[in-house]
Amino acid sequence: MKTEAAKWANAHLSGSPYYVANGSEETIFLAAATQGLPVMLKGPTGCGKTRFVEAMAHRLGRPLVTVACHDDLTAADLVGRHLLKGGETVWVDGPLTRAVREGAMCYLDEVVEARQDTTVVLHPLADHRRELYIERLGLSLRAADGFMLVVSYNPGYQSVLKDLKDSTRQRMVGIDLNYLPAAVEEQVIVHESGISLGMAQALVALATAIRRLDSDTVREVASTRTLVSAARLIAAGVAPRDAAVAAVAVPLSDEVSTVEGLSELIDVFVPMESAARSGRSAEHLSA
Amino acid sequence: MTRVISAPLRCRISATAPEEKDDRFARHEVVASALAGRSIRVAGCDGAAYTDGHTIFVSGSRVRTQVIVHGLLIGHGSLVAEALTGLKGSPAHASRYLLLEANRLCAPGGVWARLRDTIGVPPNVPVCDSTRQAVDLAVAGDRLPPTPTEWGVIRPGLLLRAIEDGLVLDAGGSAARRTSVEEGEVLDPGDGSENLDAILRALSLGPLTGLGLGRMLRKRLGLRRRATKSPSGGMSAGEQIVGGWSGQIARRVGGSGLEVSLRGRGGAAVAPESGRFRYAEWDRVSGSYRPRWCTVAEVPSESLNRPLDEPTMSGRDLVMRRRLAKAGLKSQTLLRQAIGDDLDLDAVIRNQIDAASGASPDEKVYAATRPRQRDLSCLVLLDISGSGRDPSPAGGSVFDRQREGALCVLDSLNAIGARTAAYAFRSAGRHSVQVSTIKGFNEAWSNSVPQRVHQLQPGGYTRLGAAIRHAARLLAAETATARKLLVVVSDGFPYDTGYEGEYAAADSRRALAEARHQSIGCVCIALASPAPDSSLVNVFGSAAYARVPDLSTLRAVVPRLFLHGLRTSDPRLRVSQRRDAALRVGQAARGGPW
Ligand SMILES: Nc1ncnc2c1ncn2[C@@H]1O[C@H](COP(=O)(O)OP(=O)(O)O)[C@@H](O)[C@H]1O
Ligand SMILES: [Mg+2]
Repeated sequence: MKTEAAKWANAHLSGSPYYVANGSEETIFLAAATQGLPVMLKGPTGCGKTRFVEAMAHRLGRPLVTVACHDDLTAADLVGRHLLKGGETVWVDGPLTRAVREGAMCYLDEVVEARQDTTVVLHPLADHRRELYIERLGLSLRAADGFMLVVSYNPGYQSVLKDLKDSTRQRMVGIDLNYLPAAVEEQVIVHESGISLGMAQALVALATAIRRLDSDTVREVASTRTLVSAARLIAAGVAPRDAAVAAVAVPLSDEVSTVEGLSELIDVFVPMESAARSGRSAEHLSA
Repeated sequence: MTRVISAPLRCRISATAPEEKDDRFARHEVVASALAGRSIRVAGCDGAAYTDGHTIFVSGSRVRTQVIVHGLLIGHGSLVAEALTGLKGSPAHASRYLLLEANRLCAPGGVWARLRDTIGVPPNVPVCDSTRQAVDLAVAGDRLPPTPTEWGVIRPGLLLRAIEDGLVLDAGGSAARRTSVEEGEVLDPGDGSENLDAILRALSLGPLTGLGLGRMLRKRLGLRRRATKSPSGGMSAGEQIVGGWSGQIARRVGGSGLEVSLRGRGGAAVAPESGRFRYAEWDRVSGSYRPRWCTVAEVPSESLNRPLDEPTMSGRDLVMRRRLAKAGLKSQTLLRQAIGDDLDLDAVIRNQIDAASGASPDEKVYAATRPRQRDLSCLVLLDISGSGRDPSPAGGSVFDRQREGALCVLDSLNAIGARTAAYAFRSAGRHSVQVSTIKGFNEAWSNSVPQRVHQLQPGGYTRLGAAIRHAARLLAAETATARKLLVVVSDGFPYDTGYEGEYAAADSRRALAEARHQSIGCVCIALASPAPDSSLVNVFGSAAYARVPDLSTLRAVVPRLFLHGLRTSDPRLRVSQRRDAALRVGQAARGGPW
């Protein structure tokens, strides 16, 4: 079922999610939460949006409901539907309705992927009314106190953005996220994978180079997520070069020539062996 | 006989035309472009390696080193006119400067530090903190270690000429990206000085415009190219100061740069005066755009028409409508589903009766609705150039068959509930690409639509790229559906003054690729066209296209053709995947169900 996409996060049970701030996003988010304002996160894929929301939900001590949006997502998938059980019709809340009732944080990941007729249910929730209208029950629900609407989208997509009503967008607090500065991104990679700082530096230098490529060669750039994946492969014993090809180059393009070019770029930046260290890396490690 | 052509996957959306490439160095171009921050070619040469700001010429066995050294210098503002002027005339000074800049750019602690070992920076080279300081030190007498000979040389004279002629934009910075932004800024009528500057820069970008025009304009207007490029806005996360001429900023562009360059790609410059639009054109030889190269004018349809003399066609084609609907382009309520938004009452009752009578009840009691068509906008772009006047084997002229096909497609799309528009185009040189409305997006279907199609008079040439860019712009600006589709009906012979052969094909291909980058699916229909398959592949690239001899064959291939086109417009798909979503229905068309 569609609702599989929604899950209750138990972050508060298992320690605080690791998140390194990149600016004032935490202050703004927490203030918006206190004021009951919905938040809109913009940023490229894999820059830490999901991690950020998890960290904030934990900080606020609120349950988190995450819905990954896609263009087959219907309003009923969000709000709920009648099911037939043992001869009775039973109403089953969707993830959005649950969050509204229970005062949870509801995170709609990649909201622009959802169609306009789906996102329309968000409108009265996003303004001062904080109400969810459930058409099939003919009922309006007032959001419980802790309820907070958080949506994200990747401005790199040509999107249905135009369909998110301007009036709705203006009721949201916008937070721009982007990739971290090199030194911080290196720390994140080390933390997430346990590889050496020198190796993390090599991966970040590689990503820095890829992020300079124009969008005709690669549309997406190497995200923090792909770097973390490469790092984890390395931590699991894969040769660094192979790990970078598998986690960074291959996912970026299906063009054989582009993948070859990216592999050359990897050869330039990533050492063949885990032990090989050069220049700055050795220096930083001894420090 | 159905002929659906399978576009091979080799159509590469890259800065260079595939047929021009020196394959030996293809893999190095990604490295060069990444370090330079813009599209750079790599080619072989005899003698010492060097760059003209556009291509890095390499020799010998240390290609990787040469690509890194010259790519870094291009990408970090080392090869700007101010620096080069001071080095001109002295190969020794230029060589010392090469050493100092390479050393500075991969200084320990910086993001390129690990390149030191790869390129083999000699020990004991002083670290300068700006390009200016490096020039001073290069021309001063101080002792420096020798520059590794395998790095090659800087050729200040060559680079300066290229900059002056506008062949290269200051040979520095992320010129390509910056220009895309600035092209966007040209649209802003707010600040005049910036505009003028941006226009001049844009002018000097195109290789052929560059032949003195940029220089002449600058002189006439008493302007000097600014040494520094003002960074637009503050630094965002992910940027680093690398240091350059007077402490300029070399940007490390994060993912958000994509959006910007998408906007700039193809240079959709909005009308300076109403009804006229400027678009860039792709020059495959130089591997760059000629900014604001073509002018597209929206002209009233009457001006292209002939008097109404014959009975008009209705365009209504029930067969095609049905086939399109079958292709899943229709809103459907699916009953008796295991999952759905609503209960299907009949199924529920049946279920209850079964349960009460002891039979095992069918659990499929839901109704699911998938309103697809509400999410689709479609623009049909009809080629009305004179080449269509050739007689068609199917009777009448090629153009007669094409307009008939275009109208049927338009009518069918309209009938299944898509938002539709149709435009006709022809050209007479790059300053006169004419586009006329057959049906606007906001216009309801009426008899005048088929009438207008019927009245169209073929004539003029085919500047296909500009027409496609304009159509893509209309789709992007006037519709807000999740799926967008551009249907090009043409004989597949792009031709205009200064727009022929490979050049025209590459630009057309490029324009289609740009549209797909904007999540606009592209379908190209070559109806009754005498063009050989090989040339169609060249023009339509990896877009879904079909060459069909007549209307009935078009009906047969339409569902699959459109599904492929739509798939490439799926906003969830990345371009890298889409590039390969070429139409491969050759076999299916022969043995398929329709
Ligand atoms: N600021 C950050 N702090 C900690 N980890 C981060 C940060 N940014 C990115 N990451 C890492 O990158 C991975 C991908 O981030 P994610 O939140 O899934 O990205 P997004 O939701 O933007 O696509 C995370 O799992 C985490 O390992
Ligand atoms: Mg023609």
